[in-house]
Amino acid sequence: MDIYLPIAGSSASVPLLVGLGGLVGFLSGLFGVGGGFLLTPLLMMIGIPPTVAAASDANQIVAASTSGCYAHFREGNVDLKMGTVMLLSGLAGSTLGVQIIKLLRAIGEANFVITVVYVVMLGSIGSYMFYESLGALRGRKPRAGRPSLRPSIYRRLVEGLPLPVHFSRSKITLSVFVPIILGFFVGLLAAVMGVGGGFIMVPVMVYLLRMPMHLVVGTSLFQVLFTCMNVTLLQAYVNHTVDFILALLLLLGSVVGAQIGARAGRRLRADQLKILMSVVVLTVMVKMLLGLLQAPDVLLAYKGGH
Amino acid sequence: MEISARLPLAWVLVCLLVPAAAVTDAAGPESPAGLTVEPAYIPIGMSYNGATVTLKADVPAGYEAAIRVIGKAETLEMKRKGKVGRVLWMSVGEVTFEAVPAVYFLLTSGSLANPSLATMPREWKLGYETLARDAGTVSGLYPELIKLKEQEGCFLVGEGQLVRSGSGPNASTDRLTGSLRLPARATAGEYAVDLFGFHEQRAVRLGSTTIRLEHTGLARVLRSVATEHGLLYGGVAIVVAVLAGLTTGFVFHPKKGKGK
Repeated sequence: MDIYLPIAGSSASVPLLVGLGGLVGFLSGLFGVGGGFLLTPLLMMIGIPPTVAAASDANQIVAASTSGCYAHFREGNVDLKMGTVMLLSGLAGSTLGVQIIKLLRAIGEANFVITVVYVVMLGSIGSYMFYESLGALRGRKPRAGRPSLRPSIYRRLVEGLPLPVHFSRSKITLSVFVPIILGFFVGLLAAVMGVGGGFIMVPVMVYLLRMPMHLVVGTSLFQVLFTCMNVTLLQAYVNHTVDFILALLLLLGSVVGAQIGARAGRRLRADQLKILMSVVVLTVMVKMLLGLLQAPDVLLAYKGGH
Repeated sequence: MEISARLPLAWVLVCLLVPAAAVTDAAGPESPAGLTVEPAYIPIGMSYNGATVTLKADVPAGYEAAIRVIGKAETLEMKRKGKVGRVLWMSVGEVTFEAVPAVYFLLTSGSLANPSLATMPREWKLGYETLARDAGTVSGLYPELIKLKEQEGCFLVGEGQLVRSGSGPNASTDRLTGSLRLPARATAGEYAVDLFGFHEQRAVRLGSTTIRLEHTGLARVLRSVATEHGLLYGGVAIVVAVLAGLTTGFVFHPKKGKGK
């Protein structure tokens, strides 16, 4: 059963779109990521123009993250204070990121720099998460729990910053500048890479803010929700590239998938969640790397998309 | 792909034979001809998934023929991929193609190597080579654009896909039929359909008609709102998404707990 997508100017199978939405919603609810890095290329593969795929994807992520965020909020797993601070600084970072992209494009080599940074960063984060979680699952004590003679440079730097604030939900006290700075850089990286930033935010919250894993997913979804609202509105107003029918079909699957993902997440231990997340991150990295190494079938592509 | 591969040789032959021909823009009284297209009007509603168009042409007996369906020319801005550092394939720049038709279908009754084809004026745009000449400075990349458009189903050169199916309304004409599949991503608008005849190194335009694709119903309303009231459209899209997310949350109604 196919349906015409009026803004995409193309038709697609209804069960396929609902199924894709369900899959990405499941990942969203489970890991706290938007899933745009996965869904946009899949939509392009079934013939949706890149600009429409990216914009409509952002629209469906609003639904999936609302659904996932609501589920986590009911469980008390959203740190609104931390989420709001990082969201605001992330918006400032993404604004600067857009300007940096313009500058890099003017210089040339922008795509090369961005892609290499992207692959290296995903590879590093994914490998570290995988190694650490695997160790924890095998019963090895995480490095953070080991007694150490002197704190790390990062820890000393963080502890030296002024204006300490207590984030009661996450049960951590640190300088307000830490989430502001980290949120800013995540926003900046997300803008430079052209993605929502959920799968950068999750490792940052886990390893740099030391937030409990069950709070990380809900809080990340809270941010993804507002980021994607902003993207949807801008894309609809400036570029007219949001396909409401496409987004509606995707979100039919994704809102249900997000609930199932959130439920599945509650049955998993933090280390199990982390190792699964690391597999997702490494899969994206390998996919990108293969895309860079394999000769394309056609040496032209439409502008737009991630 | 086989058709594309044979094209260069065909066009070399065509170019060599150009001077030897006479060109006429309409069939003479001695060459009754007709061209019908079914359907000539295609509504693009929510159930639209492309359309098959049947082409029927009556040409003077003994003529070879070609039917060309061409959409409105547009400027295409695209990313060019290339190797960086001899290892990585990525976007290495942007290119602009001028005057690229939205769709381009060329069905012929015989071989594209027919010497009569050489007699056609360039503006008749019979063959990819003529399109490439109008593309501007990037015509060297045109084969890549053709490959992309063929993959999308928007371009096709169907050599021998117009089939003789008997005689026309009178004994002095042949009936040729063919069909083409307009893809779902074919844009709305009016497509020109032209019938050309080739005989004894003489090329004539035998007839013209159009196919009109138009958005209708909900598809038309949504396109109109999206382009004319983008802010409202985006706002509604967000509200619907949030409501859908919240509704699902209520339906699943998870128990309150302490979390992990």
